[in-house]
Amino acid sequence: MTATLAGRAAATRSAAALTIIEVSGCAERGLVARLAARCSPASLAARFFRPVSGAADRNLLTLLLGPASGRAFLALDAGRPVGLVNLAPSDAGEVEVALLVADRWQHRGVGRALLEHALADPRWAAETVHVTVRPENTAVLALLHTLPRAMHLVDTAPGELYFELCPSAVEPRPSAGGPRPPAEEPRPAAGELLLAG
Amino acid sequence: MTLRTVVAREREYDWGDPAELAREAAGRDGLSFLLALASGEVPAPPFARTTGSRLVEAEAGRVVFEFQPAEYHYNPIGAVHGGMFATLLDSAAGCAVHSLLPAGVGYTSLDLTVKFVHAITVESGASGPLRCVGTVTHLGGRTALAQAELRGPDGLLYATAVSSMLILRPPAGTAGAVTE
Repeated sequence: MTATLAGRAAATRSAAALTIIEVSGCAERGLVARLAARCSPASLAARFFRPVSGAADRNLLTLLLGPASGRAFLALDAGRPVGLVNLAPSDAGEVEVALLVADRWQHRGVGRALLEHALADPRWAAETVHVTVRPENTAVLALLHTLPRAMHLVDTAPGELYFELCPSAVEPRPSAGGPRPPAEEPRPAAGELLLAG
Repeated sequence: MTLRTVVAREREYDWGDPAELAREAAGRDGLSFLLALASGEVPAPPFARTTGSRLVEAEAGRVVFEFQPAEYHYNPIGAVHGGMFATLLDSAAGCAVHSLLPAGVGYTSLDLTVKFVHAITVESGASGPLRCVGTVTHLGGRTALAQAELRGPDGLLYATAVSSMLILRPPAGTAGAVTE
């Protein structure tokens, strides 16, 4: 009973309470490991597009920390790690974004907060940003369409949709019908997530 | 000008049908295929036979190649050719990514950036083979990034590399299409 109440309290916490920090040292490594422990195999599989067994995958932490050339940001809720976004740049002027949100914090705005924070970095303004999403991941699909700079579907593969955010200078103009109307109501953001990149 | 007489060294080696090996690779998930390579269940690929390198360890996201430097790896100025470094680093980075891919999903290298730290000679491997470790640092839906390190038996770092790879998923409706 106590556990149920505690879980409900956590699930109703809003994204406004989040703190976002950059993953840069040993302390954050520990937090990333704690986040992985809060993610179900299904969430990890959605992030990596393959089955993942957290305990058996010795290199899972390396993958979640991301490449040295990229950046990673953690979302903390009252000090607890609840989400992670990775930006992985290639030498070709492209950046792939991957998002992971702990199961109990999905659909609470964690993914949106992380993605908006990460993409606000001017470092990526001249790069093409890619995101890959599974078609059934409706929460993330809604998120991508309602970002300050909406992402565009550019390609598909079995079970995957590829979205792209063009560099600021060449971002496509709105269609003849005008800009995309806002969502009928604020979408709680992305959780189940994820995208991967 | 007179050219000195060259004392010939000879080396013989063989290899298996690469098409057969490629078919074997396509039918397995990456890790099980690499484990089969490491154990000798399936024959080493031609490049490994040519260079004398071999895959010795594989796990999800990490692989290890061993390499014994020899005269036949040398460039004209008395050390192992830089292309040999790149071959090992590219193999380790690529196979590390392969170890995370389901059956039917392929990959290809997009780039490889190599940092040469020390020259390699035959003496570098006097106390044992060099080891080249590849580790995946990013796995996404479309691209993967990996790093690799080449070290001597004493731990001396000879070279590092980073590489990005394009993940190749089969078209919908084809055998091996990913449905997970």
